[in-house]
Amino acid sequence: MTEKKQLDPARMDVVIAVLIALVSLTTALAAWRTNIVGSNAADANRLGLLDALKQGAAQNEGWRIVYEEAGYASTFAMESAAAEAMDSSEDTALNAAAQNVRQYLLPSLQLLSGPLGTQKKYLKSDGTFDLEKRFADQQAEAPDLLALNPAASFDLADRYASEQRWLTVGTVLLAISLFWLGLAEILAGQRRAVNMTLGIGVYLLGLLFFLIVEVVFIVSRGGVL
Amino acid sequence: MNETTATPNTDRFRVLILVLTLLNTIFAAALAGLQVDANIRADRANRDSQYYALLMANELVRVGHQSAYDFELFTTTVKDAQQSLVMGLTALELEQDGEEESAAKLQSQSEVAQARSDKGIALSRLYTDPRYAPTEPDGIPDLEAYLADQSKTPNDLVAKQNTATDQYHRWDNKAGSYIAVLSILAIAFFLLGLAQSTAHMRLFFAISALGIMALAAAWTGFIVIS
Repeated sequence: MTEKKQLDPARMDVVIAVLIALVSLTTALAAWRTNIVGSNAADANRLGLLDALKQGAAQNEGWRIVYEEAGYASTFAMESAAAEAMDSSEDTALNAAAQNVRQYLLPSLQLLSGPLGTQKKYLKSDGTFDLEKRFADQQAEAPDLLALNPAASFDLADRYASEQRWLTVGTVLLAISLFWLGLAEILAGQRRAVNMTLGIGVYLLGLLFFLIVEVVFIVSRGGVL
Repeated sequence: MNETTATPNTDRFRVLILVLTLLNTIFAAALAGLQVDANIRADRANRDSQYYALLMANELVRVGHQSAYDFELFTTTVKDAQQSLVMGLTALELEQDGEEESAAKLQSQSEVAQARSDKGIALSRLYTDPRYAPTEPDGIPDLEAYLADQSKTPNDLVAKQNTATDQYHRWDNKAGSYIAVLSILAIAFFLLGLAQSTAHMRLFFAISALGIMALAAAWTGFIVIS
């Protein structure tokens, strides 16, 4: 008697209709969440590109400053060598010129060439300037620009995209369960029960899969949604 | 008698239609997944392409600064060396003509220019880096090797950018094609719905839907392997 009541077609119609409504709502929520994750991936990519743009601009300016200093530093070094040659000359006019070069020209050039031309740490053993070291030091003076990390943003975007892929699989499973429940609604007898069982099974599988994917990726991001 | 035989046939076709609808749903769901995947790959390739373009532009700016500095130093060095040579030769001529005072002054100036040039050579990458340094005394640096090295990194980045752009077009075209196949599957859904609601033309609509599904499957296969 109880068995008969449970399989009453009218009651089953209502039960399946409620299940369809529940699965539809879950599928809609899953599609929404999948889109949010896709949107987060796009945001992270956008942030990475903006950071790369800012970092590039800062580096370009850094290299410009370094090579400007290098230009003055090399001129200073060459004019210093010239002044020494003038000093060692027997020509008194050149001796006097050397004094003036030291007094008026070299200090200005040295000032403009600093710190590349004034600090020994930037002089390599072969006599050339260590421009890479000067560039690294120059960039370190702006820690906010140095902290820009496009690769980290791209990595985050890739993880969001990967999550989006798996969430899509979960959403597809939910949509498939909806189809089986739809079949159960229009069929009768044992076929209805089989289809409903399949629908519920696939729904639960899809839901579990979706939740596992969410938990795994959220934990891998350190709790960030 | 006819009615009793017609009813099971109709039921059989209804089951066939339900199975076809189920297959179509699974097909559409899988296709939606493929479309999302293609879109993600296209987005990533598009991002990489833009990133490499940025890196390449930055590298060109850096190489521009470096080349300007290296060549400025090189030309100054060569100019000073030539001035020194000219003044030295002139000093010798003056000495031969008996103008020893002028010759001595010019000789001193020649030494000053040479000192300037020597310092420039000591500072120049073109003279100190073994990849470019002259192989013989008073030789000219290997400027071709220098220019080849200077353009190598930007060229590598351009190659990577082009590859990423090609990947972007490839996956973007795939994503677009998957959308087209999904639209075709929507037509199959429509035909299966018609087959469900009519008894008279049920088989015709079911076969039409099956044909469209087969076409969509073939197209999907072509997209996947392309």
